[in-house]
Amino acid sequence: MAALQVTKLVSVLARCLPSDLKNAAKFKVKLMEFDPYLNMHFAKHVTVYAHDPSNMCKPGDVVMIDRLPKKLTKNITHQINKIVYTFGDITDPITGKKVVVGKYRDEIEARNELFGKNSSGFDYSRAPDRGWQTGKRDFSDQETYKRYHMFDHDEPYAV
Amino acid sequence: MMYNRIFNIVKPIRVDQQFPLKCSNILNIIGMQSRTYIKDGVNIEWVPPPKVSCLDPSKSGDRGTLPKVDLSRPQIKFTRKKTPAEFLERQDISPEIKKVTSLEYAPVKYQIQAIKQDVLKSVQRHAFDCASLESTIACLTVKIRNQQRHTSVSKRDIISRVWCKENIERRNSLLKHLRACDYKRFEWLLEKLDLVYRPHPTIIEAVTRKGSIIKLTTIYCERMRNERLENYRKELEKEKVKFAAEKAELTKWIEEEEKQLGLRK
Repeated sequence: MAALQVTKLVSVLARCLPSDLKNAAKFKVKLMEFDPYLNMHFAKHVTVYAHDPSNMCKPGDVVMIDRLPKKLTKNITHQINKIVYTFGDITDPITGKKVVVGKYRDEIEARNELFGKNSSGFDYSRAPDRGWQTGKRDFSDQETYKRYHMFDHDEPYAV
Repeated sequence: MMYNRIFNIVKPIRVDQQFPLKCSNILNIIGMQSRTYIKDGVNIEWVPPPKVSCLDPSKSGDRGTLPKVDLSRPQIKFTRKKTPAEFLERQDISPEIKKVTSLEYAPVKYQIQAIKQDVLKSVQRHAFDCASLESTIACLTVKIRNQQRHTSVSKRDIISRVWCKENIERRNSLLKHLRACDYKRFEWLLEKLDLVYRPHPTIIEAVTRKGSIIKLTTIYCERMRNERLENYRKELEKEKVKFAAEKAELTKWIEEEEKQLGLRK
């Protein structure tokens, strides 16, 4: 029922998940399903694939996706419109400043400088973009699984 | 009932060297399915993974180890108001007392305290910061690595094992939180503390023989399919040269024919 609803909508807001298909990003769409017996709405999640050949979306991003007029493949039904919020690097849409949870980054920096900033600590200006540790120390770009066999090769995504 | 079924379906049994008579073969002839997950001739062997403790550094995500401390350093409690260098330069204290108050004669927990302070200094936001996410994770990391070292030696200390597991899980949850809040800082911290982050799998299923063999068989089938496709592609590539020569010959003949018939000038 909920899956049908997604196919009818022209564009939806969805959260990106680690994808298992090539040239496609996996998304989780939240829908509120009405229960006529309890007279209440309940959350229901539907997974959808969108065409993304340049790997624009990364797991965790909140993205606006549009329905394709015709299915590309059996699974790919949507395309990416725009990335609304990047995961862990959110910009406040009103002021245009970067935000960390409930505080602006500028505020945090000013507070650090007031107490005497640590030179060996983290610095936003020197920090590279997200993804420089992917495959080295950060293995959150793909789905992890429980180790089931002793392979000859390394299994970085096995837990 | 069973006999009727056997006599109705039975086919002439073919016994030769290629297909030796086996229990599974007879069952196949009869039309019954045997409880074998793999067909004969396919070499799939399942090696069950060994059980690894959750306290093991490979599972907890600790690539690095505890750094070594300079044992000639004074204990932390003597250097709260002054730096270690200032304490060692003091004239009113004899060298014997300096030696006794050094980390060499102190319990291990004081050495860990010194390591913790060093790590904290490299990570904290400012001199008074000890409660930010990165500082908490750094302190926990030192604590966990010390507990891992301790539990590997004294395996009967169950309380330490429990504390170690609790700390590892707490650090994982803090890392997950930091990842969602500030991804750049999270990646920097992984590099700084030499940690590995693997999210929890969404589907947790028990490792069984049947399930593992099904997965291995799908991998095998995929590899076989890719191999065959690759071989077919190579075959077609070889035929391309032959086809091109044939095509050139044919076009030449067409041209000559057209010239003879006066269709081409």
